[in-house]
Amino acid sequence: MNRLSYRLLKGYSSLIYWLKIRINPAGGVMLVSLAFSAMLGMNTNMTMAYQAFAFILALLLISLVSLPFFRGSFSVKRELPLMASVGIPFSYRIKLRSGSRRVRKGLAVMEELADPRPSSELFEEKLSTIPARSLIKTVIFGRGYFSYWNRLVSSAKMAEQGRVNMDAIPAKGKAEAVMELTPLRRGYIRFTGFSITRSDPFGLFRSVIREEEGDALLVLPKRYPVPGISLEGRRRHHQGGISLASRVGNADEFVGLRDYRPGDPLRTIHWKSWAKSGRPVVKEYEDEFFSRHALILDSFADAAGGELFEEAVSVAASFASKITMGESLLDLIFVEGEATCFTMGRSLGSPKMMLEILACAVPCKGKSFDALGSFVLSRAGMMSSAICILIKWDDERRELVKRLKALHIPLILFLIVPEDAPIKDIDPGPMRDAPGRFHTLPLGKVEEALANI
Amino acid sequence: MNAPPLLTGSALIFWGWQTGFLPIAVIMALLFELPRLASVKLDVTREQLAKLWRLSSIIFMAAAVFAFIRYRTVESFLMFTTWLPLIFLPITLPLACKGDGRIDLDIFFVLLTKASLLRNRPITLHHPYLIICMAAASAANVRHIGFYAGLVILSAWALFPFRSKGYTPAFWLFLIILSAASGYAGAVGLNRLQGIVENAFIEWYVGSGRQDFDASRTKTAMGDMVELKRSNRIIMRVSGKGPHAIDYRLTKAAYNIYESSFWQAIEAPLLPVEQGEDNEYLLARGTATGKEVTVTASTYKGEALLSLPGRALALRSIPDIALSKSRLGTLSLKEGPAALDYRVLLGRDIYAGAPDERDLMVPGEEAEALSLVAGKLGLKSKSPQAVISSLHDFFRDNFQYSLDLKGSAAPIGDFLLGTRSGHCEYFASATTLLLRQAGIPARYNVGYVYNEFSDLEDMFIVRERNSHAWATAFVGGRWQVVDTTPSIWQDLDEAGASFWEPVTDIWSALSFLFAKWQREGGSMLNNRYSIAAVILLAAILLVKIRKGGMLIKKVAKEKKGTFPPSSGEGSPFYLIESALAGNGGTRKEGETYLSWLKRLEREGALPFPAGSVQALLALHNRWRFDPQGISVMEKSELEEGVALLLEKDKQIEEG
Repeated sequence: MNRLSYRLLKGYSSLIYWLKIRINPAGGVMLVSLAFSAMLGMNTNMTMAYQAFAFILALLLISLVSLPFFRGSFSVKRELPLMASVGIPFSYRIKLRSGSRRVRKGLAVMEELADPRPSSELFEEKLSTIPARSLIKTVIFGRGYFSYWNRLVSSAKMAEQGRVNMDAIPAKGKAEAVMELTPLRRGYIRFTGFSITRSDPFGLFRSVIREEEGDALLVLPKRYPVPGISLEGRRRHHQGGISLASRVGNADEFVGLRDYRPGDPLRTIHWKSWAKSGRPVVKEYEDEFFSRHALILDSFADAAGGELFEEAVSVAASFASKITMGESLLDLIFVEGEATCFTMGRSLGSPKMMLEILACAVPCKGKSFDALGSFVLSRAGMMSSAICILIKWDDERRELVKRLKALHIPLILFLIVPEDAPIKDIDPGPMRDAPGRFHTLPLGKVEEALANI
Repeated sequence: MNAPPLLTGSALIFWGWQTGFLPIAVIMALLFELPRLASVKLDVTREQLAKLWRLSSIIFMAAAVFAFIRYRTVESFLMFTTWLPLIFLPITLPLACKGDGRIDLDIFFVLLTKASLLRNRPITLHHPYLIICMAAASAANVRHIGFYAGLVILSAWALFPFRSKGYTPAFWLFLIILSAASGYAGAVGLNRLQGIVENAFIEWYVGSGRQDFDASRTKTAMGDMVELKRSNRIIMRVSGKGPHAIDYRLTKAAYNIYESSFWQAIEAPLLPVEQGEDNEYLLARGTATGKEVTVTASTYKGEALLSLPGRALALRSIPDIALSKSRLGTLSLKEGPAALDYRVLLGRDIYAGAPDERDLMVPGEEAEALSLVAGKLGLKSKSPQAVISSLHDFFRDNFQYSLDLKGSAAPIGDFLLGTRSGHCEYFASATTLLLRQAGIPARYNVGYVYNEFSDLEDMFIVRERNSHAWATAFVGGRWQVVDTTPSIWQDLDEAGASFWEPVTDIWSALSFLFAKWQREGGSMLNNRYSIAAVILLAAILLVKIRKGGMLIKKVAKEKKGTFPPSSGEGSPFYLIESALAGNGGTRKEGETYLSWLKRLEREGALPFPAGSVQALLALHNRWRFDPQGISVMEKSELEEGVALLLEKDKQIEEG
């Protein structure tokens, strides 16, 4: 049943896409008029609508007949910007070169983006989350497969299809036009090619020639204005300084040699001195004390929590791009397959890189929240403070917050909640003693809630 | 996309020309085009548009109900269609003067729960209104080339702006002319095709377009009835008041001359029957018995020979039908409805006019056989009643009923002397002619026998196979039925019934009940159920419109009394931002207003009291984010607050 529905819906989407490319709005109006006149003119002796039907049919047939005559060799190139941001329109240049010996007029170019239709596995997974409903509700209110399918398709659509009309192209020449697209969600917009279209003489239908031209553009997450957060917290001892903090290379400043003390890393042993003196001697570098903050992103979203996760990413991106680090570091910690930490600040990484990572973050599947909890706690010794962005407020998360607090790590917590969640009833739990550091951000009102902090 | 100038006006005039509403159409056209020519723009709010759409919807429904009650037929639908440009005027006219001419799609779907999804999808109504005008013009059904010419010109005009720039205008015009020509040929073809299909369908449905008995040629051929006798179709329904009639025969036509296998009605013209009081048509003079039967029958394009009991005195039916009657008793209907109920009041005798010499004529080709049989039976020496009795005996004892026909030049002679087998037409013809041979005036009658009572419908049903023929003899100063066909004929005919007859009977009963409900309900409002349905529908609609109305009212408030969230566009708070920016307190990119104010306060760069600025910011944020927007008072509070702060700031600077 599901397989059949999947095939039917997939076919339906293909048909709609096919028609959308090939039928102009005027053509749509004419098709509706044709149906209307057919109904009204059913009895040719009672009304004259049958004449309208015959005329419209003749127009449509002549339009259709002209379509196959559109031929030509074209090549199209696009000049994409380096990256774009969700919700902010960007424009780029399209270059269309014609191999024809004639001047080509009335052409338009449409972007073809990657197929947004879900795979059958994804569709089945989504269906498994549908609560059991009565048949009547499913059929009458359209809350069945169809609406889930539409939601899945629109959630995978990266941008609306762009279309631009081209100026006349001289024989064997080229023309340029500016295409504008508005990214709908973060990640990569994958361009697969172009549809070069020409309308029929009446402007009802379009003939289409397809040109493959793959490309991809990274879309950074949506960012909100965020309140300035003073990330306090003591400076912590980081053995080996900034270089070792990033786990790459050696410390900059060599101070001297001293006797080995249990716990010293083997890499710091000075073998020559040991050989000379007969006892283990280690190199001593200048240790540093600096602040290191954590931006903890909760990526454990179930199938229904996709929107919450998206907002969490946007909030994380907003902080990542706005926090001025000065001499401190910011670690972005989240779990995607495995626990990941990306550090920025000083010479290590840039906000842009962090946004790129966030643009491609996906919810973690098949692991429990403990994977994040234990990773965060293992790094708690280095943390000066932490910003937690959570999408649930269950016992596991409260436990993590409780333990971080027990380690005296200053915390600011943002909890993304569904739009209709009763905010007043949410128990701050371990954050009860710091109400100014526990913020709930309802879906759809995140910008407002952040502005009011 | 806006329509080209003058197109809507021209479409309206075209509509007026076709429908006869030209004066109104000219005024409407002027109303549409003058504001555009004078570049006058109306400021119509979303709320007003919603109200206008509701007004149009109410007019639409009222006009539909009125047309249906007034005309009750398919004409009511067509009449209603011709009014459409007027009905939608309240919404289209203000929209045409609105400048951009756009209206949010959700306004049209008040009853749709998810209508809000269609918001921010504005459309224009120019082209839909054009289509409505043309549909309305087509419904006027003026069979003139002018309609097609107007249609082509207006369509081409509307399509011109959409044409592809890849082709020259001349080529476009050529293709339009080509479409017009082929469209016209197609239209003519469609019209002809309908004629052919209709005829074929009627032939299939009604059965070769036949009328059961021929009214126009007033003659019947021997053997015509066999075809009827093989059909199970229910053609009439009969119910009676009082004890039922003496016989169960309904006479459809009577004939007086037999010649070459044909019975004809000679010297029996159909004369109009005057309509009396209470829609009563008096058919004969006689004594009423108080008994009556009601017959429901269909007509063929409003024409039929009505089936009547022989003793019919008067007929009551719907008014204004054209009835005519021959002196032989045949009653013809013209200009009647597709189906007709008529009550027949019964008298004591068969009223079929006085006999004349034609009722005694015997055809030459059958005379020999007839005189032979008459002589054998000794008819001439017997009294009329004895003749009738001996004919009954003769046919019962010596003849067989059969629907197998054998062609012959003298069918009656062959039947009497040779085959001695035939169906009712043979029996009735032979009886009539033998009665005449015995000197008794006699006529040949055709019609139906009804004796199949349907429990399903609680009345008698008459099938085509119940068609029958019999003789009437003028004995003792009055006509009486002489039916010599063996009484077994009905059983034999019934044996030929198909096994799915019960199914077709149920279908026929349902269609009959529906047709009856339509006829008796008359206007829709006479029917209690219909009234209840209409009231219920109206109530649901009202509730829905009210609900929808409230939804729109909320939006309306935004326009009228509140200011909608629109990223705080136009908020005076931005003045504070620019004033502070001028003093070196520029807000950093991505910094929220609150953090910015707090930072300035910390840095001592905020020249205003922090509390009052933050209160204004709260109002500004509500303007930006609150779906309800802020009220007029709150807006003026914000404006005044900002003005006051800036004023103070200015004074401090100057001071």
